[in-house]
Amino acid sequence: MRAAIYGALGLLFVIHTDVWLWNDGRFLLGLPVGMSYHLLWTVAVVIVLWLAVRYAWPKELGDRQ
Amino acid sequence: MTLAVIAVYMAAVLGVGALSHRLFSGTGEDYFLATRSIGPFVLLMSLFGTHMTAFALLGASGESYRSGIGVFGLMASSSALVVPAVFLFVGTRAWAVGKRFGYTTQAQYLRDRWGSDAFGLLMFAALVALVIPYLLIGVLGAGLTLTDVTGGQVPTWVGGLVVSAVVMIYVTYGGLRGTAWANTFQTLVFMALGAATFIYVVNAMGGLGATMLRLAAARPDLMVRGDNFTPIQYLTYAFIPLSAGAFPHLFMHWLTARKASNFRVTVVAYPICIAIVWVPSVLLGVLGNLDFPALTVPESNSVMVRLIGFHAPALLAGLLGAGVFAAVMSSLDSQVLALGTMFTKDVVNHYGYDKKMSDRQQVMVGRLFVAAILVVAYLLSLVTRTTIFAMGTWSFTGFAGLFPIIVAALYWRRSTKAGAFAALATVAVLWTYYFVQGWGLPDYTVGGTGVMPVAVVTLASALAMIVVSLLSKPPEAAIVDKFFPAA
Repeated sequence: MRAAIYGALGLLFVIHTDVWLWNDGRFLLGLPVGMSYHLLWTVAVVIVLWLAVRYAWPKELGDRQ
Repeated sequence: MTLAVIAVYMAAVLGVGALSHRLFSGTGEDYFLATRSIGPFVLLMSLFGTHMTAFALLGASGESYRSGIGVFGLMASSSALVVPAVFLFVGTRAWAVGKRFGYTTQAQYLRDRWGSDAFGLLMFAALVALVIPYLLIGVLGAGLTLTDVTGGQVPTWVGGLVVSAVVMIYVTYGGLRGTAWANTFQTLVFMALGAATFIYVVNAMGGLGATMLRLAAARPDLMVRGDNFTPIQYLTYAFIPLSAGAFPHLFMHWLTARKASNFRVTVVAYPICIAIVWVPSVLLGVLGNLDFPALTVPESNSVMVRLIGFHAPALLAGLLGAGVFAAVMSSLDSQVLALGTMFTKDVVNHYGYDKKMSDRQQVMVGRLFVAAILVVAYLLSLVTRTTIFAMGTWSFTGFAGLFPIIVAALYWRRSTKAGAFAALATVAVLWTYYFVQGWGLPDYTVGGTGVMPVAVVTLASALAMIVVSLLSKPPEAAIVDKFFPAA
């Protein structure tokens, strides 16, 4: 699980540079697709980070006070 | 009306600072680190408020005015991934080390980590040199905003003076707890006011969908990345948010957490907070081209203020001014407090007065440094003229270059003092070289390739750390055992 989540974070980094939409002027969700893509991408980041703190929290930290 | 709204806001901030002072115990640990007692929500708000500056509101909208919607992906969404990841992997570890050994500053930790007094001193000097331009972003932004929202009636020097004075009062009075509380209040204010401004102005312009279509017809170049950015620029710009891992003011806020799990909310909610601030900022900047099609570069940094003056009543202009002041002060306070703490701990205490000063005297020295730093920053702001965005980028480039040093300290037991010196020297040389080459050229990239200097500086720093560490004598077992105890 931990490896899958870290892999997902890496994949998100790679697909951040969306060359396939670079010159695409169409609109999606009321915004230019180059911007709406990054908003949807941000939502995906939130989901993966939630998985990270839920299932891949650094073991050595635990819930130390 | 505008000035009255801003005055009420300033009074409210001072009130929050005064309230926090009621919990102040008078100890150094309380003044510098709020006795490591901060909960999850205040940690999120204070980290976010500290990280976001006038850069996010004024710089981003100005850059979007000039370069289009691609600014969101370039600066905002990359931060939405990289910064929380830095908090998760670096912030939590730094918190654990700080808690275990009682550290307050990065130099204290790095000095012990590599057993080198000289390295601690050099790191201190590098951090101070890089924070100062970052401070100026805030003071300059405040001055420009007050001038713009009052239609030029209030000169630029007044806004910077007001912000510096208010910050000086509540930081010296309330220390880090006062700063964290004020940051929380101010972060909520600038997020709410940014969103309210966006909704009001866009509705006044005819609604988001219709207005964007109108702009797409007039300026299709702003709707795509096209020639405004290159993919390699996008990829390498993503190194900029690594700077969050080396900021001294964020480091101090990490150490205030009551427990490691308090970072969880921050990690997950951070991208949402970034979107709340940056989406209105970028869209208003782009849409400004409809009403103000020919602004110069310095004028474009105030495009948001101009839009409000054009479409909204004076009350909203005042509220936006308060929102910008909130963004400015919520960063400025942490930065000056961090510098004051570094001067107190890394210089005054470390070089001769460690055993000779009482807790109360240390707090007094910290307060005097805060006051002195604000005076110097304000005076520098009076003679500095440049775009807010350019200043931020160069400051962040240097901090990102220091990031591999922090990571090696926390994660790599084989890293050595020689490797750390080599990395620091590499950052100093490359940063200076690129700064000289690129200063005054807003679109500067390495050799015109599209590669941002930050990527080269950061990767070269990491390489120097790795190669020189492996070529030098392994660190002493005592140091390794201290910082990497067996599980």
